[in-house]
Amino acid sequence: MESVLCAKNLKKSFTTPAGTIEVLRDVNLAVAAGESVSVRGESGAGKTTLLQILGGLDTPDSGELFWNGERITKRGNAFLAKARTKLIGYVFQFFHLVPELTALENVLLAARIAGTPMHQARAQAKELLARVGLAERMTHLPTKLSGGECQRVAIARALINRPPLILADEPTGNLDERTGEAIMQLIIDVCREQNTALLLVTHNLDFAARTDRRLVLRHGVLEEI
Amino acid sequence: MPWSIYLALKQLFPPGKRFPAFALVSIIGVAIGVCSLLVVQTVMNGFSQEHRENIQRMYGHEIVRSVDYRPVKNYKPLMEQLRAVPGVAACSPFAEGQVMVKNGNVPALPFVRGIHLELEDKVVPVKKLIIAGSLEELDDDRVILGDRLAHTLGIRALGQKIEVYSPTMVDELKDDQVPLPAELEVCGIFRSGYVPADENTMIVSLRRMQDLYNLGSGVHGIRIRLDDPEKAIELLPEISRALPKGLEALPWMYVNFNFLEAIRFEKSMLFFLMFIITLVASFSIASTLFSAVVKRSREIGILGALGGRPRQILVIFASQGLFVGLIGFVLGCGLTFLIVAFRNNIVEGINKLFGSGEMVAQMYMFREIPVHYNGNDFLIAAIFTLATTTVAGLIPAIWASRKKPAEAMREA
Repeated sequence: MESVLCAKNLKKSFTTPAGTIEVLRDVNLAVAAGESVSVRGESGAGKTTLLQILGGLDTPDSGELFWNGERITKRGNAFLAKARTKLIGYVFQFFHLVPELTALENVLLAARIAGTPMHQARAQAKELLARVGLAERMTHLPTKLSGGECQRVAIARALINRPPLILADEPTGNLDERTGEAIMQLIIDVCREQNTALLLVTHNLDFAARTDRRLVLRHGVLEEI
Repeated sequence: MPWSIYLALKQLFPPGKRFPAFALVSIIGVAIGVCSLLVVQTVMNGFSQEHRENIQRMYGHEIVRSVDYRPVKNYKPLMEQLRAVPGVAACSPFAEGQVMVKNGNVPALPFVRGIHLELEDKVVPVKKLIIAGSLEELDDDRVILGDRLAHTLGIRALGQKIEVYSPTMVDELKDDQVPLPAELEVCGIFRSGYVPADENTMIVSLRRMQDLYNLGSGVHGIRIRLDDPEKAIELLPEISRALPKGLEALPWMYVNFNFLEAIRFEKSMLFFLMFIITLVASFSIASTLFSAVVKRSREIGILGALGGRPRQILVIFASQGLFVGLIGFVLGCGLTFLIVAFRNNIVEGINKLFGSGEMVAQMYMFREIPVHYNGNDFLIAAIFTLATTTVAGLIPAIWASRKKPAEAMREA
């Protein structure tokens, strides 16, 4: 099966006043279409950095990265941004919705950035918001939504362009247990429905257990468990 | 609408906020800058325009006179020659000079203009200036006074008589003759709006002036009206060719040339001074937008993660500067129209407050503050304002767009 995401020998280090910290030493990873993979690791292990590099938001010091078989290492910001709209949907721990936009507008924003015509994007956004249970809350600003509702909006935003891969960075980390459970199930269900690959960073063993493949980032290296 | 513009507008005017502080403060700053710039320019234009019109109204578009100020004899054929010059619309002979007048015990030393009763109004619009009586009533025994001069002399009604003494009477005194003043009946009052003229001018017939100054059939010169007053300098060589030796032509621009140049220079200087206000407002926009960019660092990263291109992120912040400039400019224009419309009331209020009386009339020679809207001033103000506010938005925008999404999110 062809990989939607493939990383080879990724290395990344940060220089701090205390010295150089090697966050990723030799990361190798392939995620197949429709596959769900979880990554666990201690706080500060480099999970978020790994996710950012895999999503093209940051550059590795060395190694190679492929999206849908295309080598994207050392490509410019503009190319990566355009490619992201087609390939990757992001879900963050703190939702990161645009505070001035309503739930519907936040979802539409991702579609408009991808160049989807307004009428088409609006219909898709409404459908997705209804799917995540927010049919009645579309015109609300993020400040008027609960944490769980904000994360639902973020999930709809990640899915609006029907990307083949979702990168989720501790999407339930900022939610209570019950809401987190519901959100996690929603992500897994929606990804399965749309045959979307999922790379999930989480601390939660139970959530990790629901994915097809479970990995741990330890000392800068990914290990399969 | 492109999403980046939509987002810029939403950030500038966040929904649910009744007082979007950044937008309002920046817009008001720009509006005040634009308003100061345009009010000053409009008033300076008014001064300049009013002076140009006054000069044309009082002197015509071109004057022909002798180089040594001697009377011009046999002027009628000369007028025919001048009328034949293309671009010359009308001519009228004139004689003018200082006299002494008395109304009872009240004296004055006005400037008297002797005009040709049929031809003068074809060259300068005398009839339009008359506010009491009429030009038709003027004859060799009658006089028309400026309204302020009439007031100074204590003229209460038309029909009153004044005594006029001319400088030539000094010669009669030398010959042991007793000079008798000319007694003229006031048949009209004029108001040009130009205070020195209204305070100090009276109009008599050309024949009366020729008598007062012993000119015989001579005149002091010929006043010319052109089809296009702006071509007065251009037509100068052609008019000069029609003149015999000893006579010269003087375009209206050369009358009070230094004064008109001073106004023009003052206008340019004030433009740059007022432009600094707009520049200061732009710097405040840049500074506030920088803070916004820093505050929104994570948002910039998120937009990148969603696929927003650096150019689109640049548009979000740069267009905010442009919108502030655009709205500030429109508001500034509105404020300008408002201030200009109520300018006289404002000055009156200031006068009352500081007790400076008829400041405008005394210092600036006008009864009210003259204004003249010039489209070019608005265009230049728009270009400068939009350019500075856009650049003010562009600098933080470039900074924001160059950030890598992960870097932007880390900095937040």
